[in-house]
Amino acid sequence: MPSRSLSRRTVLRGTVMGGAVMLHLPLLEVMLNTHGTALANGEALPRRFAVWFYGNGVKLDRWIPDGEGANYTLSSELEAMSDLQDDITIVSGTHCPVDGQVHHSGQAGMLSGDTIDLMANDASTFRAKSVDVLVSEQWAGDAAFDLINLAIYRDPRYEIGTPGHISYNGTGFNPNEVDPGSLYDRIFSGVVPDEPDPVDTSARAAARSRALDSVLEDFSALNAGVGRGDQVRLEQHMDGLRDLQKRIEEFETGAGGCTPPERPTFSEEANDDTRIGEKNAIMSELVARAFACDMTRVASIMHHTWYSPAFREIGIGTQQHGLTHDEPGDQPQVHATATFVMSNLATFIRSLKAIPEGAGTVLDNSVVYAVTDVSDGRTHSKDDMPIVLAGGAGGRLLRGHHIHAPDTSSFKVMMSLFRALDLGIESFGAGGWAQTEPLSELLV
Amino acid sequence: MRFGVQRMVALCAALGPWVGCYEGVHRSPGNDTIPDDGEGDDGVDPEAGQGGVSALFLLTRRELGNTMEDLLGTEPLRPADVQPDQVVGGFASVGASVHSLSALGVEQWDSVALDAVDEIFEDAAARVDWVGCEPAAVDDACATEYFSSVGLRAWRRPLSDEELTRYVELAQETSAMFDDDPWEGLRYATYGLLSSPNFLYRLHRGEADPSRPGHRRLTAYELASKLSYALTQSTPDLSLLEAAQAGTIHDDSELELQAERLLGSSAATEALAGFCRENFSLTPLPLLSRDASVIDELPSTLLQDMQQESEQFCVQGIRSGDARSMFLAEQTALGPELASHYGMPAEGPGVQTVTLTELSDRVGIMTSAGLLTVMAHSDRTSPTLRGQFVRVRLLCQEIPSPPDDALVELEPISDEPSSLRDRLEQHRTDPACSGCHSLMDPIGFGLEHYDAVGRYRELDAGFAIDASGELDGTSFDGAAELSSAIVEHPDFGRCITRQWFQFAQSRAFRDTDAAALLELTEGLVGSGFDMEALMVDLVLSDSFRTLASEEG
Repeated sequence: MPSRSLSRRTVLRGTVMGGAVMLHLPLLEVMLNTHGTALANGEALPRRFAVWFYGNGVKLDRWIPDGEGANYTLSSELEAMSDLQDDITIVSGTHCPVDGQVHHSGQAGMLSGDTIDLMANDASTFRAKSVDVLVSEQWAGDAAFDLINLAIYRDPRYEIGTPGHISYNGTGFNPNEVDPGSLYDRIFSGVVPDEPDPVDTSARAAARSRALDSVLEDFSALNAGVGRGDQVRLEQHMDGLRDLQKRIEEFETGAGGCTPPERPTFSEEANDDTRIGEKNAIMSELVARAFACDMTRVASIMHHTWYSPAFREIGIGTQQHGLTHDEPGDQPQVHATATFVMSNLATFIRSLKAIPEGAGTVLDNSVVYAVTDVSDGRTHSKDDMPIVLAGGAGGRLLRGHHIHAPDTSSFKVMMSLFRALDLGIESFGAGGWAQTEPLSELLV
Repeated sequence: MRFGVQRMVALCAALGPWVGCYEGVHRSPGNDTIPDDGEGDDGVDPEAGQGGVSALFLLTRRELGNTMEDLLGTEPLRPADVQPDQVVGGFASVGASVHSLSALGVEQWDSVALDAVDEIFEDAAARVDWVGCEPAAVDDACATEYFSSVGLRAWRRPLSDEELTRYVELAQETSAMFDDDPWEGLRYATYGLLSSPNFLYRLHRGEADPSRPGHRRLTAYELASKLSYALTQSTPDLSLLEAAQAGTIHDDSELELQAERLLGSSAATEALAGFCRENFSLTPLPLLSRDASVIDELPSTLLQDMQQESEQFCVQGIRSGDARSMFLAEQTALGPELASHYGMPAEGPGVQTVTLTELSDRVGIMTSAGLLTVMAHSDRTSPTLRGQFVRVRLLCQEIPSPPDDALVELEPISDEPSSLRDRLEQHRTDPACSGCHSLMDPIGFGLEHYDAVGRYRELDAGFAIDASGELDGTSFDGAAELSSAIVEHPDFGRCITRQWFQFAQSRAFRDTDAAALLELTEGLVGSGFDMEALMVDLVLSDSFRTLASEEG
């Protein structure tokens, strides 16, 4: 996408001067304390949070591990995680309590604690903010980007609505990047050698920032004359503008030691569902590097929703959603797709584990919340939801266990993650579905 | 491998999780195509995000593209350049009343604005051409005149003195960063103007209505913008801005003249095509994929032709003076690829006008391949989806959501082969689904002669097709009779009026609009379904020009 990358360069144009520029805030060894467990100034290493969502559930009888606690055997659908067994915790048995029988009510439930507003033409929308947004609000300003949103597969018909989005900010969805090159450019553009720019770079950054000051004044003036609903929308817009302004200013003075990855050469038609695994691996690497370089601390990863691909690369020609309803018997093809999706999740977790950080790895300081919309695609059940947690939250989250928690709201799992990450979020779930206490077994 | 007809017909689920109906359709003057949009409880009010009535309308992708083209002569934006629209009730313009820019959207827009400004100001000839003179300083006559004029065009209203002062200051300070080069000051001030919410959002703040004490109307500039975006999806031109400046746009005669002038423009034809694509859900068509194991992939050129053919039935129906002709037209224009898709011998490379009756039982938009394709599943037809489309999109009836205890898992009904119709008939005996299917399937059966990509067929799974059905008491056999039943349905005129009302007003329908809708509908029906007359009527109505009291 040549034109697109040209456009992206513009954002950071002039920050480069023909050479590699280093990003701000790397976690250099020199910044760590002698044990590598915290920053030298005593602050804890940054925590990261990733939502990893996939549609259409699993085959529970082949997903739920044998045995509970620390002595459990991974099931066939989770086999790809065998090398990660000490890094993950499997939670089974919880139920997603929200109203609604459709796929995207489970999607909204697991991700936002509320159901959806069902709208025509699948332009349905979450009612509540999604957890990635809630967490990013707690950590606003800590990294270059408060949140990045990406999709491994998004049905090209659904740039709108819940079939194509899992991140909602209170006024609408956060768009997600489906193209690895675009995601790379957004995060890392400006840190690769570029053509010399004729414009004086620091003056340009200062001029743009000054112009955005005027724009923010326009916002304030406008804000004063509109109703509360419109003010919320303008605030959302202004937040993005302030973040952009901050990045423009920071890049001007940026210095540090974080090496970005190579720009991915992967290109594909968005509709291509023959290379999902490959794209997943590239995207996983980008997110891991973005975490490591502290470009962001929160990532929302939509593997696919119930508007699903056919997983042609494993020899399945029917879209997964149709398959869950139509395949007879014990659904070997659905099982194969779920196994494949879990192997993609394993790839992501492995990407985080591959990058050393302090005395451990990026994974040790992260939390991955991997969930789906329904436990079983055929019945749309929201009971017995399959949940994979990965990462240690800096030593606060239980790993290497299978926790079976029947008669428990899935929202208690989310509360556990909020606690493990020391977030000041005191409840999760709308109205009567709200939970204020964690599933204590998950905390260490 | 397909599971063929022996597979489970979990059609209640397969029709898509968004449909269900257990208490029958209902309509009321204030009902909406958007189920569950209640402002009460903990629901989100689609009109305002979080309470109140919105006065701010984010420019849609299409509006942004047109606006930039008209304002700066830039190349058309590509969809990936800017944030996707939020579509509410089928329309991006309605979503624009609740939408905002996300962090990514802000960044994307920033790139577009900066690129556009750089393109002008990095070219010594282009910038003089654009500004109209050579500024010697950012506060000389040339620069000052430029800020006033570009401000008016970009913000669709004059800048206030305070705003003008602030932007001149911005130009002064930024110019100072570049050795007092006035061009740099102009560049960054222009970038600021295009990044401003006053550019990216239309505002309906209004003013006291001098002719009706206690009421509010749109200001002259707000009205000019609203009119322009409603009919051309772009920024007001000089004639409109002049009428706004003079205040004459408030006069019925001037407003009517302006509306008719815009309606006659090619920009309006484009905008009407946009309305048609959204109203008939044709937008995703070029990207639609079919299940390759069942249906050969359709080339994207064919999908585009299909979209255009369907859209043209609608545009021509609007332009013809009788909207019913969307459904009853007997002629169409086909390129060779689409002609061949319809099973016709192609007559050379050009577009040929074809009389539809020569194409076995085709008439109007309902039998166009584009619409038939968007109303089907990726691997098979769906009488349910097709029936749902007629109810929801063409008659503005509401189909309730399924109750929580609805079964989505269904046992196989039989191991014997059967037609889809037979399977649906059996399926409809299940009380968990019958309420839903009986409302939609009998309508969709009328289109069973057309497969999932709109090709004519005599058989389904080896069984002769029975295309008889029923729409609210009117029996029909086949697509032509179904199309007649649709345009003769008492809700048809009201629905298309309502759809245009929402599209053109950039907002969801409200209960308080019921009287206006009734009057406009009567006008439309009385004119023999003249949509252009309806468009002018709407513009002249209080509903378009004034603000409800809560908007004050």
